Amino acid sequence: MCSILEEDFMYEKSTISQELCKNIDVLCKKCLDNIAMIKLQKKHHYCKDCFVNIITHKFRATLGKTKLIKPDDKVLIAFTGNQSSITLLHLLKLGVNEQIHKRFKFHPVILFIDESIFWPKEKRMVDLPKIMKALKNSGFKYYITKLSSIYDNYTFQDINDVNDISCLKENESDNKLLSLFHNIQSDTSKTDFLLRLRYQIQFKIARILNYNKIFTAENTTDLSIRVLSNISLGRGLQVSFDVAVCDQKIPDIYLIRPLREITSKEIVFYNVFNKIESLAVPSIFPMMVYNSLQHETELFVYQLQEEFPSTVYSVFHIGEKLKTYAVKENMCHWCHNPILLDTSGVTCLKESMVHIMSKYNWDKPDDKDDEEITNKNFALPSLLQRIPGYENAKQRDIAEWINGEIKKDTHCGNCISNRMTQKLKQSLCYGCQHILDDMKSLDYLPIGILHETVAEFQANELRKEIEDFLL
Amino acid sequence: MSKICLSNSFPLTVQFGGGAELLFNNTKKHDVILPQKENPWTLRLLIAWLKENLLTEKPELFVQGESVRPGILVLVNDQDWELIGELDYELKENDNVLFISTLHGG
Amino acid sequence: MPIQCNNIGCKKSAILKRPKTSDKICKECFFQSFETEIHDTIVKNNLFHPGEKVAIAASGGKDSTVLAYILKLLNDRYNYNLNLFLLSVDEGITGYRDDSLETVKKNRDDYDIPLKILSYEELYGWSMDNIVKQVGRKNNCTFCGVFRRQALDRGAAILEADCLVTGHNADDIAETILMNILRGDISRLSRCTSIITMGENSIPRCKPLKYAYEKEIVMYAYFKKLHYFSTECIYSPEAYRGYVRSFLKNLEKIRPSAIIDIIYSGENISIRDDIVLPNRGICKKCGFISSQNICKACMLLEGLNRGLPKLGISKRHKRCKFWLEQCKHILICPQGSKMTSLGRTQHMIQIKESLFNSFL
Repeated sequence: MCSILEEDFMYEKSTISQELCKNIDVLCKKCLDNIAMIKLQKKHHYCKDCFVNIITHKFRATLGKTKLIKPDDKVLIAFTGNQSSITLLHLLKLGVNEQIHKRFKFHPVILFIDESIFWPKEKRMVDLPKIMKALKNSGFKYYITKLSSIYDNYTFQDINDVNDISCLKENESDNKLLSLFHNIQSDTSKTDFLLRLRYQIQFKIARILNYNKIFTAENTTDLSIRVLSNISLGRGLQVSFDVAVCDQKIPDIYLIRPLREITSKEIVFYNVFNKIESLAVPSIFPMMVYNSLQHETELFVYQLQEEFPSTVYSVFHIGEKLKTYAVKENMCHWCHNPILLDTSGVTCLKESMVHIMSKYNWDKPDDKDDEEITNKNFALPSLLQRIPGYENAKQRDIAEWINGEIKKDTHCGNCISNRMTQKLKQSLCYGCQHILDDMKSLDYLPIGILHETVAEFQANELRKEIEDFLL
Repeated sequence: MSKICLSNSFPLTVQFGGGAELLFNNTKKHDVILPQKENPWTLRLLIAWLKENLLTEKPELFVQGESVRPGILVLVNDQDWELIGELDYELKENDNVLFISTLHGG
Repeated sequence: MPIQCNNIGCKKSAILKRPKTSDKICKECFFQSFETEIHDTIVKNNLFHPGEKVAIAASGGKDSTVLAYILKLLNDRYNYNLNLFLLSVDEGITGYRDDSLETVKKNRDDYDIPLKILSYEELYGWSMDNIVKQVGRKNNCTFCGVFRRQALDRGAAILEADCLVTGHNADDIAETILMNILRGDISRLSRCTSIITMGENSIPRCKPLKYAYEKEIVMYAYFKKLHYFSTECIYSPEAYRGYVRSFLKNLEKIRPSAIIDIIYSGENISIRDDIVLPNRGICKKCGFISSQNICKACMLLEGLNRGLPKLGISKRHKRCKFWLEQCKHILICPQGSKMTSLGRTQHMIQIKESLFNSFL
């Protein structure tokens, strides 16, 4: 077929005016006084001061527009150490030190989630103290936790000695975390899972500390990349949550993105102009070599941006125009986004060929899927054993019950595991199911994120049994 | 401005940030001395020179074609290179050239 | 050692790995599953009703060839009881259609389906070659695409079809979703995933291959030895779509299910209630669906006939500017300078529309 689909229209290439001759300095378009130091969207030139003012203004305007921040509010600032989060700290610091009439009246408290377990050791030793120092210098109160705290009931600490990073030294939970990620077979799912875990920890700790507002440092560029990668991960339904200025997928917590109107280029220049040292945060992938949908999307956006400078904004604004329906009963247990129950469209396609085949009486059904599930989940009973309260279950001895269940079922020794995995899958959204599919084993899944699923499962199983008994 | 420099050197500070330093021996600041040549040094030539002489890892993560990879920002003396002619900018002695990656990790 | 087909009970050796499911299967199982999936799509979405006259948009390319072959096969196998025929459009591009029309004619003979060919010259009075002579190569794809869309609808109407089927595959749909996101075109984004598009005065169009991967279509055609024509249009696609296409291919390489996941995302997107979408009305001139008073095709055609080919290509405000420039000598806008930019634009649109209507 021809490349033009039905409703095509012409997309005009931006014409880049080459008004610049070498050696002639361009003046700032705002003050018309100083030499321009930055060029935005290939057309706007600003000097240092005007640019920094614009950014500060954008930040304050974004916060103001939310109308959510009240005086004396306590706000948890999610700090990762990347360039945007350093900018966020700087802007907040300016805000609380402003003259009285412009001063921020809320109280920022920082939460740093340490992911350095994924970094090379030397890097860790050099970069962690730098981050600690940046935290200390911010002048705000701060808490520190580790990504692996998902195994330790989300414990966190408020240490104030920058040289003391002993609380961040490797422990057993870190090894579990490494094994968990090692078990995920694709970089795409690793990246996605990491993002979901970060949110999970932020939410949990905000709850523990009794905060209901979180600031994250995601910028326009990040978010437009998020829109596109969400689309290719099958997370279209969640786009509006994941990029909203105020993300309320969890009803009792507001996740606010005050940098969402600022692009990554602006962030970099803001930091350079303010002489803020950048702390390079290495990723979970050493040497930036990885093969994920998210990274591919990022490269694509930057590439396109070179030629069509409005790309980032167009994509970002699409995210703003979408809605999502928050379904309380049907929330994904991993990412807290709504699960769609509708089984038309693609979902019918995913219900493997087996189904379609048997429906139209063609050939014998195959049970490849069951086989796969069985292989993956033979360890589930042991998983159940790791659930707190499992040992001394109040009403009955669940262990015995499970063993009995396994024996009862003569066809398939792992039937309960199968049902459990089915249940787990049902409790996840389309996107998170992909992550589950990419996990070689469920052995290292933290109890924290399994708890709800297992509790529901147990309740269901018990109910079923009682019903059977009564019949 | 005396362009004719009798010494055989062209000193320059090159800095990397935002993760780009990982490709350059994990060092953020390099004081380099470019060989003197007849034609002026441009950013285009500098990028090619860096690729040959300073880059220690995976060139494809730094260069694309004769320019830097999209997502890496270039600043000369804190000024956006888009304002000064990008690749065609003629370097001056003791210029401070900064490459910052905005690309993410994971 | 040959790998055995993943389908249990099938002892044959596998010849291919399905990109969608990673199943390794043999030729027969592939045919069966590919065909059954399309049948399933047709049944689940109620695409056809018995006794209907169905026009298959045939270009001679792989998609439409496979579509024609499979519809014929399914029609016989499951007794859809459809009256199928092929509908081709001749854009009038030297060398491009000559061969592909031969292919369509061969399809007609091979599958025993009647064929109707309509030319741009017949429908619009302009062949593509003439259009290119007039507008150059920059915007020609716009003309071709806009005209083709209507050509098929017009053809289907002339031949009194109940339904028009096109060969858009999963890759095409995913690509369109990405394009609309990158352009920030929210209303097209919400529309582009539906498998049937309905409109007043227009015949329903549907896409039975919506969930079929391009790769599988090619493999199917190859193993079935279907004859198709595979030269790209000589006026190759615009750069922008090219970027998106190669991006999609990269995504597919990383995670083959990405294409279907993008479609899933697209199907589940819904627009906020307070966003006002442009009304889809009917073109005053030709009666086809259009979001403007005058549809794109009529606009382009008007431009061609008037020797102003830029008309209808550029965006609205640019068009206004163009019109204003054309009419400077008869009209000066006195309030212009005092108005807000939005007010000015709207004012210009009014002026333009009144001018345009007077021209028609």
